Amino acid sequence: MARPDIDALFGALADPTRRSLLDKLSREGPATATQLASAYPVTRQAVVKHLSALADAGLLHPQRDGREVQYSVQPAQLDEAAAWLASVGARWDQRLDALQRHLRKE
Amino acid sequence: MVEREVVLPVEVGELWEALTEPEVVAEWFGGEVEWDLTDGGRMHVREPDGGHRDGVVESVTAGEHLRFRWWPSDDVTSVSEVTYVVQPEGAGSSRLTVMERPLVPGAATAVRACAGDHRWSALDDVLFRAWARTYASRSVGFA
Repeated sequence: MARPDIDALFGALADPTRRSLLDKLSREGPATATQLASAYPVTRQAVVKHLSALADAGLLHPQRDGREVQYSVQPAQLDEAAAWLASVGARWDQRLDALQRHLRKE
Repeated sequence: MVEREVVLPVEVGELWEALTEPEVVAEWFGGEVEWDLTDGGRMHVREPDGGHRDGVVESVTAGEHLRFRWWPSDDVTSVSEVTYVVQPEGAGSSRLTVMERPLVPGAATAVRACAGDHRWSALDDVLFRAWARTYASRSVGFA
């Protein structure tokens, strides 16, 4: 599909374990669920679920490597989320500045 | 996902008026807003930069909170949900919290706007997703 599903994107980013996995993969490079599971106090199965959610949101690229799947970060999607946050945040800053100036004048 | 909080030197009533009364909004916003402030009411915003937005009021409690979904008139797939919460903050001041979060691309919004029924339900969200997957790249205009 032409535009990324920004809802799935933010949904995937809403979970702290998923954010941590994403952070780890972007710092340390591609890894498999088994490699990642050793660093988390959850089952490998739970890690696989989180990785799938991140991949569904387009944040990770899964690549089969023998019997395992290796996940790597797709930064373009994060840029999309960051761009949305930056532009929407800047608009509210402007609007609230204007509101503040208006109410203080009175 | 975007959240801003500001304390303003006016009572809740005056803040609410500044946020919701079109004539008062026009005094500070630099654009215009027209809305039917009832659950499911339609809204239209002309932004200071000339951009237009359409929307639907989701829920409103006068003097407390307002929640609406809106989207650029030329891109109904970029829907987001905005919430205003106003609270008293000591004598003569009030606190405004604004939140905006992105929603799935805007199919059901367009369909409902055309049909003249703007109420939202969980089913809309499901329809929304299904439609968006198929038609996300197609822009939908409605009068």
